[in-house]
Amino acid sequence: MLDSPRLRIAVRRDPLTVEGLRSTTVSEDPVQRRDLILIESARDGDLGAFNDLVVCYQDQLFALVVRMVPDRDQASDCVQEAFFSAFRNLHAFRGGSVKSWLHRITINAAMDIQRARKRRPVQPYPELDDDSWQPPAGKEADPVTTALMTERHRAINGALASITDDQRSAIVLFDIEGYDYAEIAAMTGVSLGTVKSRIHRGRLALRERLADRMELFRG
Amino acid sequence: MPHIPEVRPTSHEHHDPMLVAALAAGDLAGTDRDQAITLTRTCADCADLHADLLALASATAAAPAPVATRPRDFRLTPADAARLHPSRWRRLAAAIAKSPTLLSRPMGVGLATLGLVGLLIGNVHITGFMGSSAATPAPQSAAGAASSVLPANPDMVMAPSDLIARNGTGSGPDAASSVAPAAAASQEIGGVSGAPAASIGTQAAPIAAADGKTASEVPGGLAGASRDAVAPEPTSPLNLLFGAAVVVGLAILAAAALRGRRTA
Repeated sequence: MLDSPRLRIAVRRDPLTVEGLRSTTVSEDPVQRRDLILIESARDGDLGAFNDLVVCYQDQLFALVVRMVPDRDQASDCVQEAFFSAFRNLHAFRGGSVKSWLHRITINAAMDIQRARKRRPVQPYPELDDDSWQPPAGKEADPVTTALMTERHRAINGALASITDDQRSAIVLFDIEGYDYAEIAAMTGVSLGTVKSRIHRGRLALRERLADRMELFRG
Repeated sequence: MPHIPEVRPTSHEHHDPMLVAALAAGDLAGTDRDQAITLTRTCADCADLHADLLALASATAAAPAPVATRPRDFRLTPADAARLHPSRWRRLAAAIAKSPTLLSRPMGVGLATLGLVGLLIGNVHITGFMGSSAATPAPQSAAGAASSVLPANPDMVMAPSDLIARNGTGSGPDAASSVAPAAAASQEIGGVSGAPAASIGTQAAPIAAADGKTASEVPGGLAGASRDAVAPEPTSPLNLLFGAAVVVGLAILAAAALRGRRTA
């Protein structure tokens, strides 16, 4: 993607405004550099550049949201709404990590969905029974190990879906997405102590729900 | 930090699981950490809990998404882009909201305050000075004249039949029925819904009959007295202007507050 003609043109475009210079500070990270170029092009009205960004991040964001909102349709709507919101607010991007910016918008959208679900409860988590997909196994994978991993993943995903939205979001952002406490606090708009408390209580809740299946995770 | 009960090897139910969870997450330091480690060393259940929490954390980190494939492509179509392209008003609002907080907040507060003050002063002004300006006659239709003549003061409530007779434009039952709701409304405003409708005849009718003019044409008479109690027109341009200032001011404040949350 970095070799595409459009990106070369975008890189050579000049002169840059002060605002442009601030947001397109040369990054050592090629992914970040690519993202900033795409954002700049999208700001100039290039829908294709924005859609390139969508292609780069849609799987990642869907995987994030589907853990926070374990309903395939709602998660899908949430990701779409997040991209709409990002497009609408391209002018508000003030530099930094495009990935983090998109994640923040998506997490806000997911939290909106969670709040709406609390107001209008529906049959929860129908997708958790969907076992049609399993993680790919390596060539040398032992069938027993594969089965054990599959069972473990199914159990942990089921337990995750059964804890509270706040606890699940905190655990997903911390354990899976790898954000630190301060970043999660900033994203979710709560204090650092609340983030820690949600993670600790969430893990205790997971353990309680998996009490009779803990042998899957030991050893 | 959570309360730490005295360590008793045989009473796990008295141990604080949050302390063990914090230890498993690596969030403890100093004496808290020492106490948590003591718990895990002296209580087998706490040790199991600690080991389980560590195992669950690593299993969670390794777990794939429950639904691996996204159900659709999220790329935007040109129609989406056109729909999402901000309108002129949105761009203006965004530009205001994008301005530094030091500028947008005072602007929002100022506009909202100006609007509120304008609404208050404007309405007090209209109500207070309406009496002095009421002597100016204005051309009115039959129904309009009837409704403007009808006072809020229950002593001055006029029967529809009297109004029709005095204006000389009524045409039978139709005119009477068109005036009747106004009379009823005036009675409600006056707060005495049960006041006799014909009581006006004892005061206003002689005045009007004396020189053949309608009540609204009598300087300082019925019209001047009644308008003191008439509420100001809510849709006057000034009210609309000040109301708009309040709304715009509040919108600027809301936009400034939401900006950081949505897109920071």
